[in-house]
Amino acid sequence: MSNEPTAPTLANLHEQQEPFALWIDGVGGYLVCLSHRVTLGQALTESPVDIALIADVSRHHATIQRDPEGYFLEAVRKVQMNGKPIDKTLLRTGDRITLGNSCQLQFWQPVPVSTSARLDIVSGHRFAEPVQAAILMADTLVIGPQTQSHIQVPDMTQPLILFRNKSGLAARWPGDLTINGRAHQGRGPLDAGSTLVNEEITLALERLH
Amino acid sequence: MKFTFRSGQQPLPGYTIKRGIGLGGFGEVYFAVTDGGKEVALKWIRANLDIEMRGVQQCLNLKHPNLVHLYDVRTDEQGGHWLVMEYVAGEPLSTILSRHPNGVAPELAAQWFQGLAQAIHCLHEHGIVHRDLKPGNIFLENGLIKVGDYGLCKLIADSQHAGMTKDVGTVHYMAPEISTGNYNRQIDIYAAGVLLYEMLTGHVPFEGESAGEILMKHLTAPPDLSRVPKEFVPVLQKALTKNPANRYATIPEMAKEVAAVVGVNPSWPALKAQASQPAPQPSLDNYPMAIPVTPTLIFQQRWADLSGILLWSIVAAAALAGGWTLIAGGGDYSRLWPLFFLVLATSWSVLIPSKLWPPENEEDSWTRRLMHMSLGFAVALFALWLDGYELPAPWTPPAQLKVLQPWPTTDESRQALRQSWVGRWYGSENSSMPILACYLSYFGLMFLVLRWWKTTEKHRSKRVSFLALAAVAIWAYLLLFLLPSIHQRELGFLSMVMASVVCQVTCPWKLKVPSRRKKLRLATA
Repeated sequence: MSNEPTAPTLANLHEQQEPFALWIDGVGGYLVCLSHRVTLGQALTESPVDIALIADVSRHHATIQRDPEGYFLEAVRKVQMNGKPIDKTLLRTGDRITLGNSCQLQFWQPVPVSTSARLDIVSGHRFAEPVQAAILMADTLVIGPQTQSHIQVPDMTQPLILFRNKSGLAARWPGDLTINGRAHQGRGPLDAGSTLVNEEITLALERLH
Repeated sequence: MKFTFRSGQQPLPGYTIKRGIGLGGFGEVYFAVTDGGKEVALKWIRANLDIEMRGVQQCLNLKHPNLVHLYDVRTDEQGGHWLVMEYVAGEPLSTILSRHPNGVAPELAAQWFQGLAQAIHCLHEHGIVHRDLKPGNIFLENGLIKVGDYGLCKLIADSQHAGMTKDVGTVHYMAPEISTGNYNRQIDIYAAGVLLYEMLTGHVPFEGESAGEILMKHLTAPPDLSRVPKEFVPVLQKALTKNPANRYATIPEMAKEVAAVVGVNPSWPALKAQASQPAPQPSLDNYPMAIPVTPTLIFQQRWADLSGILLWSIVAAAALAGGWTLIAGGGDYSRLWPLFFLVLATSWSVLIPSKLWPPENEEDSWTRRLMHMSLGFAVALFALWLDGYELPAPWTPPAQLKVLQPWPTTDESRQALRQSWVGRWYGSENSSMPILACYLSYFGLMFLVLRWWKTTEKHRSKRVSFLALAAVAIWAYLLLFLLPSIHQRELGFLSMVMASVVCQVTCPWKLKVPSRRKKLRLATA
């Protein structure tokens, strides 16, 4: 959800999807942002930002924009990257972003073939939603046993991949899938509110707003 | 992991399940959010499991930062029991240790052990034995250790045989005496020893293919301590002793030795278990706000305050007496010194008892008045001396005294009085009242009637109250009118008014609550 009006091209309409919560049994909860432009700020009752933080930061503190060249961090208020004050900078995996004086996030792009990224809070603060991390989902979201996954689940034998297609979201898994009680083979469509079960993992997508 | 309930379901009214967290030996644990937005962990115990909930009830109101708090016990419509618990956002120790297959740094292990020991100590202090300490039950949230899964101990004891065959994880932490059905707090100390071993090395001391093999090693084999840092060997040796009687008697005892190994001094607030040792003296470090205020300390502090006031009163008295002599007395310096000394004597006899008066007797008005009055008598004698009368001493020859005139009575009695030493300075010829009585009455009554200490209190409405000055002036004028024998009437009047000014000017004044004393501020800084 972007606050700034953008030209209503087909690509933008496709991009403008609201964040959803991804709950994975035995693993954790994640805030998945689909927009190419996500805003970060303080958690308020009517929070205008995509990634709301329970921390001493401004209502709209920073913006992360996904461009063909990569992710750009734009400061609205005081932002430091790896300890240096910045206005706008390109993010690289492992970078530490400090919003305000104390709230620190770490930026990861763990999967080389995917442009999707992950934001972890490393300063003991928390997201407004009870989730472990925020995922900036570009094309794919890899849930798998390797360290090169957006969400690592050591017990799995092979990765489950969420990906975007023309109609929205879908899941790919080499085996049987049950989505909302319906059996699928290999891949199946997902939307906010879906529950996906296979022999190794159970997850649910929850619409947030 | 297969969970019975799915995200979004409300098996317990008011609680919406978001995701499953884990599967325990006797239930499923879910992360849920209440309708009000509180995040909780829900432990579901199936209805068919015969669980002793009394143990949970005992633990329901335990509070300790290192314990996962229990909020409530609920029963759903199907008869399933739900334990509503604090949601710990951190990871279990088992996950952390799996990332560190060779153990964590000794300092970190020792630090975590302190948190673990605090939690165990809290349980033991409340008569609860955990019985199921293992890395899966211990969490780390923002660096703070949280111990969970206590209170269901009875169940574990009952389903122990099932646990021995199915859940191999738990037997790694089982003390040998459990085989004889002995479940006292010593088994927690043994388990704490195993946990410390595992944190330091990444391995449990006894590994095996089956639960039986591991249990047998717990019973017979000595632990291999060659893998642990050598400074930890004595602690682990004692904690992992087969005979519970030879282990640490209490967990703080063990925690202190662990802390000593890495050279930190943990704070153990209440060591009831070691009541035989003398209680530590309260020190400023432990009780920053509660320094014991002894009477000596109060007196020293007050004396320090007073000495400053007395010095300033000399300056003020000199200024007032000097100013008066210059302006009204026409520069007659022969009157300056008596006035100065009399003002000083009067003001000091107000200041000294007022400032040293014990605060607990502050409201004892009449004792204070009498106290001031007795000092007033002393001032009266001083004034008498300043007015040129020599104070009598029984041994002074009558001829050398400047004889006070006796009051007019019959010649004989006057003569008789004059013969006695009392009479020599007791009366005045031109007055119907004896001089000494006049002086004593004047100064004594001045002090008896007025509450002089009110003008020296720190919290008074104004620094210099003209109402108080007027009261002194009116009362002094009245007394002088009634007691005409005062030799130096002007001196008597002025000394009183000026002393009142001196007292009010020199005594510190504050409207608001005073800040902490400097001594204390420095001590706590």
